[in-house]
Amino acid sequence: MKSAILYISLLALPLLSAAQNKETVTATPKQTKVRQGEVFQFPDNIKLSKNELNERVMAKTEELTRYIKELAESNGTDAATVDAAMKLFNNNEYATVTVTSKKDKTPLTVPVRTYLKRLNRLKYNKVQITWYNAQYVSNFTRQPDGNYVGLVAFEQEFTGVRNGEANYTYHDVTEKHVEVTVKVWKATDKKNAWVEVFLGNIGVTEQ
Amino acid sequence: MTLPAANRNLLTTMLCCSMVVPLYGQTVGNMGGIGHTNEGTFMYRVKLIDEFIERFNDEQQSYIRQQAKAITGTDSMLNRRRMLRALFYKGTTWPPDTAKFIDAVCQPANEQWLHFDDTGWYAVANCVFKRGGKEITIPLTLRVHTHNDASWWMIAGVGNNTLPATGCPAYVATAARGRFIPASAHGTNYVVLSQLLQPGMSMEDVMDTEVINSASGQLLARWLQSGTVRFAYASSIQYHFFQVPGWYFTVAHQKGSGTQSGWLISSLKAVTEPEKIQLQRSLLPR
Repeated sequence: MKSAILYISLLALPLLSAAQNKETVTATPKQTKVRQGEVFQFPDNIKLSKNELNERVMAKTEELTRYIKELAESNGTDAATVDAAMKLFNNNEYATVTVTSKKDKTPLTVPVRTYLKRLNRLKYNKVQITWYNAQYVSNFTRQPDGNYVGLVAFEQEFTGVRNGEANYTYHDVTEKHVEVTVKVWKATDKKNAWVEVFLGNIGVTEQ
Repeated sequence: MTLPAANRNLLTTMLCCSMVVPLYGQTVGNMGGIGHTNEGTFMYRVKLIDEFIERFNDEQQSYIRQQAKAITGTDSMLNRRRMLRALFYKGTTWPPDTAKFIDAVCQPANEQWLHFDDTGWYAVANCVFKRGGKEITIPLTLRVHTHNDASWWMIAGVGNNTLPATGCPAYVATAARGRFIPASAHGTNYVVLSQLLQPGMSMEDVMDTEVINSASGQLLARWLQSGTVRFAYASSIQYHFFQVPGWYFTVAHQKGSGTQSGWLISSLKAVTEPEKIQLQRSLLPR
């Protein structure tokens, strides 16, 4: 009898574990919205799934990374590249980048345009920027001005090599947080509307 | 079927053995050993308070569930209790209360959830201001304000303030300009405050009415408006949660490269309602 009960309970274990995994309870209306609301509803009946938003955000951050690499490797001021990068920020001159260095842990905040212009002072011969893993994108929250904001977090490895100075190499791995804005644009005929993603303030999290 | 007591005990023991997991992030980390690489560390790290909330709620579309599916093909190893246990920072010695807290959160009849636009939680940011080349730290308490489906941060309390009461002009009230602290500001340590807390600022844009009418709020606003005090940066942030009935917990950022880092529960306390009210008041000095 004891053996039979033991055997039955062993068989039941996976089912019981599965039952624990499901843990179904009645969700509150808000929670139902959260769990099912992976589609973001914007004005003018524009709908974007979280995956679509994630892809758009990723495309912008990848584009920014390309500009950063290009500027860090350039020999002179590349105004056109800086201007192109600023478009990712909707030409918002108030957007900032906060950086910390290995030497000084006090964060330093500068406007994005200033940060981009200063990149060429680094005079690297070669820059390699690697992203680890998939970036994290938060939910988007409506703002009083009608836009939506969210956050993206990603981990970035930066390696800069400068030849001719005993092969100086700078290397760090940092987690970056970028504020992201989703704007809804309307055509002049007001019949069509579309959504665009812009980058905002960038912060670095010390690990 | 009713089992004899001895067999019930045996079954219970076996079930407990199958369900007991360490109170560590390794719980979530038992997925192919990837926790030993940078990729795995980033995945496990609770990167933003937004992610803390989605893990607390065990949202089906959470980042960690998606990564688990992408890497192992399944997320079935994850469930809400495991998620909650993994949110407790292992560097703290936890009392047995944690189990009661998890039970309270997961109870089927009244499961508890956190939402970003809840009123029962606060961010306390230790803000560094600069005056005459010297740094002054003033804690600011912020909360999420929601109106017409829009949510944004507001300053709900101004902490211990060593700014002198004399030596700067009186505050000049300025009409609201429609500026605001965006809901994403916490992700960049409220760096936007350097633009908002400036001469010409309107307190109504960024501060709760109670703060506007308070002595400490007006004192800070006077100095900011004079231009001689500037917001520099927030050196640290701690979140305080009061939404779970009977409980109060804090969330702080834990540095490190292990599988348990980022925004994790740093303290937990069982509280009565009067105690909860008193704690909330202490976060909202005015």
